[in-house]
Amino acid sequence: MKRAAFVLAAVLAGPAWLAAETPVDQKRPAAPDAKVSIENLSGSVKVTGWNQAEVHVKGTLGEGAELSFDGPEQNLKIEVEAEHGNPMGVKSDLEVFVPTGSSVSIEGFQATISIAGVTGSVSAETVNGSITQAGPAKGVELQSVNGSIDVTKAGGRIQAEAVNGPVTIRDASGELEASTVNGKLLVTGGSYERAKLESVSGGVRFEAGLSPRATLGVESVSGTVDLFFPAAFGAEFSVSTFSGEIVNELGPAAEKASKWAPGKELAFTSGSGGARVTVETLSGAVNIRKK
Amino acid sequence: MTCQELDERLDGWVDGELDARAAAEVEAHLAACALCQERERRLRQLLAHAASLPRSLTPPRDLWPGIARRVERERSWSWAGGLQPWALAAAATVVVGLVAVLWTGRAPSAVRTVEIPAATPEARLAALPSVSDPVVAAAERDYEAAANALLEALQQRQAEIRPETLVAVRANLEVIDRALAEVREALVKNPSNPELNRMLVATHRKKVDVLRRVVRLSTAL
Repeated sequence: MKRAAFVLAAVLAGPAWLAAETPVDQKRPAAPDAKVSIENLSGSVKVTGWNQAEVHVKGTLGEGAELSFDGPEQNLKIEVEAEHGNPMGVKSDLEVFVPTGSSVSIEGFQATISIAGVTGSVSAETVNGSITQAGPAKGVELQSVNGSIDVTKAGGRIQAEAVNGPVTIRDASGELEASTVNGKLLVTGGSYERAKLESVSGGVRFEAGLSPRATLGVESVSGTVDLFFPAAFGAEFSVSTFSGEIVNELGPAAEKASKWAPGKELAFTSGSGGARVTVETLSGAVNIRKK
Repeated sequence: MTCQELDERLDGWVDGELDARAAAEVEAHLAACALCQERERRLRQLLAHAASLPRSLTPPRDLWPGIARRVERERSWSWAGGLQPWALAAAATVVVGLVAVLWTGRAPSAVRTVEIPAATPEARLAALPSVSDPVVAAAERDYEAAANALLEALQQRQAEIRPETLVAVRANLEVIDRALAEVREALVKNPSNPELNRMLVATHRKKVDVLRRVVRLSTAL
């Protein structure tokens, strides 16, 4: 009975599905540290690192779309092209397996992107869609306008930039530059040598480690900034806000910056110093908390 | 390294925040590109100027209570879904491009409208509280001009972009514009504050960066 229902459903759905999508399944040999670039403007791209010397592309192409997949072992290029009409109307979903050591570059427009298990560099950008990276990539550059960005366990130089979506960085290390306009910016776990966090109206929350000589810079127009540090954390702090409030659990209270303005400033050294933390906001509150 | 890549790293370069490899790439590009040398020179000039400003000026009277009341009133307007006064003023002076994005075969109910402001930089800036510092004001005009050029480029592409994407882009630009207005309001209180001036320029830069990214990706179609 179940089987009959499945067949009936498949028959009913079949013609529309066949007209709209074309399955794709292609492989090419690839070097262990190949550069793989992928372009799919609409739909989704899921990249997974594996221990095989080839790149394997699976998925479905939207109506009228064609897959271009070529290049030498060191430099492979995967591109979804529209035969005719508006390429933004063609929605294709790709699943791509690449050698673990590959460097991957992905470009979308209205596409959701995820990358996992790649140890080379990763760069991805889209306008309307989320980007997720997981695994020990060395160097990550992710940009989305209207979508979330998630980075987990990356190292090296990490750049993550969203506009309307949240940016979350978990258990990463190295140098971090993260920004968002309206979304929340959360950095949790891991340890950094340098971190620069910026928001316009979204809140910023940092509860990660800093190396002894690290620098952390946070800037927000109207978002609240929450920083969490161990009680014994050694750093020089410089905090200023034009009209926000400052709460400090690691040292002295903030003072008014000017007789005439509502702004507050705070400069102090916690522990034996070493790291450097600077925070600037216009109207966003700044909270320095003990972990 | 391309000029665009250099532009994305220029802030880090002048702040001395790049690692050795990235710094070497920037240095090599600058040595060979007169246009980027000029960009670097202008950015350094602007930052040096901002840094030289006094942190605080004593106004003839305490203006803050009035400003705070206005900011609060405008925030409550904004949260209630209304238009802020500066936005109303801007709306009166800008040409609002109401573009119907029609998708072939769709019913009239599927027609979506996307407002893309197409004012001259001078008209937009004139509708906002004035920035007294001439160097910062000039930088603002440059950024507004760049933003407008990008908006025009985006407008030309919008028939091929999903309406919800355009709506999202517009909403984000409005967030940035609100932030610009808030910084400008603060500058009324403290016109020479270097941090506020730097924040104003950085927020303009953010707007241009967002637009540049959207236009670049849309023109890759």
